[in-house]
Amino acid sequence: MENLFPRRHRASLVLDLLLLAFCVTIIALSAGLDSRAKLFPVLVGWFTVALIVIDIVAQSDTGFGRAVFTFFSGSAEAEDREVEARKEARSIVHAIVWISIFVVAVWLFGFLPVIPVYMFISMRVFGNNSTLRSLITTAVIMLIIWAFFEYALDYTLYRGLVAELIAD
Amino acid sequence: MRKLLTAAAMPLAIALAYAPAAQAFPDKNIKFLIPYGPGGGFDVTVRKLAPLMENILAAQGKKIQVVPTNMPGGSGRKAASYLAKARPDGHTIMIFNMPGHGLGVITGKKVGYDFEKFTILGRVGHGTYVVVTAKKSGLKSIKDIMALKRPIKVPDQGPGSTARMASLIVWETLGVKAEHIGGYKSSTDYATAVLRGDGDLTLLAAGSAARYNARGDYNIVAHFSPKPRFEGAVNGKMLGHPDLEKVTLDRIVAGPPKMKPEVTKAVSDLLLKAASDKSYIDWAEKTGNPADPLDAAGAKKEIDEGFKFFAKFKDVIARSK
Amino acid sequence: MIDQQALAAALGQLVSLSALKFLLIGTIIGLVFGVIPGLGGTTAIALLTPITFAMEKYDAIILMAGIMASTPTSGAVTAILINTPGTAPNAATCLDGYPMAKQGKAGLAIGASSMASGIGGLLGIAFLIAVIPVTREIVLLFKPPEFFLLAVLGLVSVAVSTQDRLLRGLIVGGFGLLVSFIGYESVTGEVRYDFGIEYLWDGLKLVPAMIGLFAIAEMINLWAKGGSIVEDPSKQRIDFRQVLAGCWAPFKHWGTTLRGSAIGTLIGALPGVGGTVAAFLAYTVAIGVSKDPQSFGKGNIVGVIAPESANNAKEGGSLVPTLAFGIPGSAEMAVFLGVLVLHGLAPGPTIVIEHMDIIWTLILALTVAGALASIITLGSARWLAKLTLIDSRTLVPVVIAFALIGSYSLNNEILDVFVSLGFGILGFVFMRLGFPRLTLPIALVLGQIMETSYLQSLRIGDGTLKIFVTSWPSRILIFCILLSIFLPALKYLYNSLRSCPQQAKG
Repeated sequence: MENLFPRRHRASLVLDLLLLAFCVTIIALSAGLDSRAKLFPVLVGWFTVALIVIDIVAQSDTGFGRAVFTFFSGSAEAEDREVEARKEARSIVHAIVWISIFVVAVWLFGFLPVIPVYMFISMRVFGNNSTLRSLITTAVIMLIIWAFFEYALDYTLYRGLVAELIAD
Repeated sequence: MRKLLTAAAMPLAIALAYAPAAQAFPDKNIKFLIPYGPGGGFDVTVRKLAPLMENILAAQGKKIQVVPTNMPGGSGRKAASYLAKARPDGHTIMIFNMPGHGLGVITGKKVGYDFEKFTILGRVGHGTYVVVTAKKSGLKSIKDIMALKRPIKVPDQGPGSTARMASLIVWETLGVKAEHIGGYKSSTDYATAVLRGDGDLTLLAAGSAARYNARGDYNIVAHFSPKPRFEGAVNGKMLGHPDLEKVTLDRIVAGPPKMKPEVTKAVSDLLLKAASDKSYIDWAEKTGNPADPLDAAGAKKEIDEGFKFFAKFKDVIARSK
Repeated sequence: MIDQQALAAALGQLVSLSALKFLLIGTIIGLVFGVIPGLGGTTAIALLTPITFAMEKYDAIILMAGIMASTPTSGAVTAILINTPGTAPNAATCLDGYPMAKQGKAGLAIGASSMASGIGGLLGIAFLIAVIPVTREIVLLFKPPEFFLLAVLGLVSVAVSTQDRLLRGLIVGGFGLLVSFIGYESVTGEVRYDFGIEYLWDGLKLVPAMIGLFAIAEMINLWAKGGSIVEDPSKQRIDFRQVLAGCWAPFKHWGTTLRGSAIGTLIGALPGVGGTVAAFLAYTVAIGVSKDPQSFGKGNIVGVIAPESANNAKEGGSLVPTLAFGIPGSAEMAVFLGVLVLHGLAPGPTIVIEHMDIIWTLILALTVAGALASIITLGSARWLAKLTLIDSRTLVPVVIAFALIGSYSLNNEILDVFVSLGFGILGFVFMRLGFPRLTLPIALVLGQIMETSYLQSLRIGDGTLKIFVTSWPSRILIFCILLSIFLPALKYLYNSLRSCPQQAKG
């Protein structure tokens, strides 16, 4: 394993295996379905499984693997984009966590209170903006959102789980 | 971290500020659920009724909004399961497609909600069915259809749809072997499918049939109504099956299970008054789906009778795919 | 069949001051909705429906037409600036538009896309008027077997557009198809692969998924990278001359513009598949006939012109089924027909017989609004392009807020927001590991159509596959499918044959 798949292909390999697991799950779940309802899913499922297996082979550090890679991509150069420094991984995790926090906060408290708080923190704490600049930008954006959706369109933006619970 | 905590506390305070206390009906906006996306017949019916309901409430000095809310999904099931869990205070009501939404009651299939537990509030639309064939198909009457040596093909929206149920009952009763082709998006879609020869015939709401046939592309061979309206169209009685007149399509409004009688009455009265408004009746007539409003008790009676009739076809409906 | 009285009545409606006011308002609303990822014409019309209730019938129609004509124009702007298509058909514009923005040529790209949109829209309507007498025949030609083949053609053309990453493009496409199979299957009525979750009955919806795949994924990337979208801000030249040069491009590449518009109107006339397939097909054809196919995907302006002209031309095309049978040719059109019903007009085929004046009002309003949208977009292009210079710490929260509002408001469903997040992370991973994301949304659009029409075809044809080759439209489609699969190989062969004797000479 250590030698078969070069380090730069590890991440792709994991993704391939996850996709493979998804295909296999769909195929397995099809067992109990009406013959017509499973016709396409099973067909596409096996087709995709085959493609994923080819992709996995193409990433192995074997003569055959390299040949497959060249055949499909039309060039012998390996994709280098995934060879990125480890320090970048930290900023990626940071980005994903920070955006996930926003989604969860919206789910709990709704759009209107969360957006300004999130914007302000993003600009002031994580960015290099002055407090005044952050406040003004946040206020302008909130005014646009409120005026456009709530005022002009008379549309109720999601109010959040907490508000719903309190209302009950 | 402290910054984050302070930030988190702020929205909580705002949320607390809008906590209302539940009182009698109506004390807040009414959510009128539509189990389909915007643009369809059920959607526009609710959008037509909502302002009329608001006007009636305004005349009583109550400034309440009736908010049509589209909740499409699972061919109408999603909104129904949502309603089943909503608070029974009259502020959440929904328009139902009958008998399609009664599939669970009729076949015993699991659909995610129990229709019989809902609080029926009234009827706001009532339609009958016609059978149409393409003129170029040469099928001019039910007799022609029955004389076919092969199963007929019927394009429609799919299993569980109101038109599918109606079609199954009609052809089962008449002893015609029918093969349904599901998956069409709307009645316009399968009416066109008949025209281009995807199938032999289909069932359409009588109110809209005249419009579809404005160019004379179709033969209207049957109209299941005590008073058939189309020339050359037979009804169930003429075919020796008067029961077929019970195959109708209704727009029923219902609320969550366990609504209090006084709330039920208040909502039902409001609805009936709105649906009896001349502008609504005229509009419904013009767009081809007569209003024929009924109050809660009347609607409940109709629905129960319908279920009794449909139950006879339980197996046919459950088997259909 | 052109009813001059109706046309005159429509013209009369349109030149009044109040009509022009509503046209302008509609166009501006449409532009705003188009720019916000996830929000498109459908949401705009649905949200505005209660307001139109109180309006005059013609004013309402004009307002809606303004929206319909302008969303695809501004939907391209976000595709170019932040790699996020405003609507599914704009997805193809990302391929070359975003690389241009990164190189600091956003103004050029916006100029080209707006002009191509405007021309495409006009040509589409011209085509529509030309085919009015035969609309019914056109619509009746396409039965489920033809729809199936068309969906296959769409998928193939998208796969081909991924060029040297074909294998992974196909894997992502297969994954997308499997995802599209989740939930209710309308032919058999079976609910599949729902993992016991009620939310999944209706499947994973396209718009939240697209918002995730593009907007969220791009924002994760930008936040992690820091800085602004333009890689080297010193290269950025935002001046009006650049925008003007962009405007001129669709004329310079007039062949591409014409081809794109023709593909757009023809394919746009088919309900359901329309715009997305049209845009990608136009893109693939542009690569196919190009002398320098390697330059696509790296910021070739032709790669912006082709899909955008097709995308707007489809608006005219999508009126064909509406005119013929009252079948909505697009999601926007479906909601629009609903608005007409609210105003007491019965939907269905009679609309053209009884209300041709309304159709003409719509056609004229679409024409004027399309041109207006292009002009407004061009006028603000310089200003819009500055978005690419904004620091990520400011841009990311704003884009995310608007994107997730868009995701939520389509169905008033908070779980859609979580779906966007999930697809956002997935999209980011795809992007980083060299899996082309574009095939996923297209598979989501086409998966259901493909499956439904296939199963319907089998029923209609009593289970035989012969039904797929019996009509001449289906034979043409099969030919096109084979052509798009083998076009790259054929071109390669042709080029090497041609270069051989030259080498021999040299």
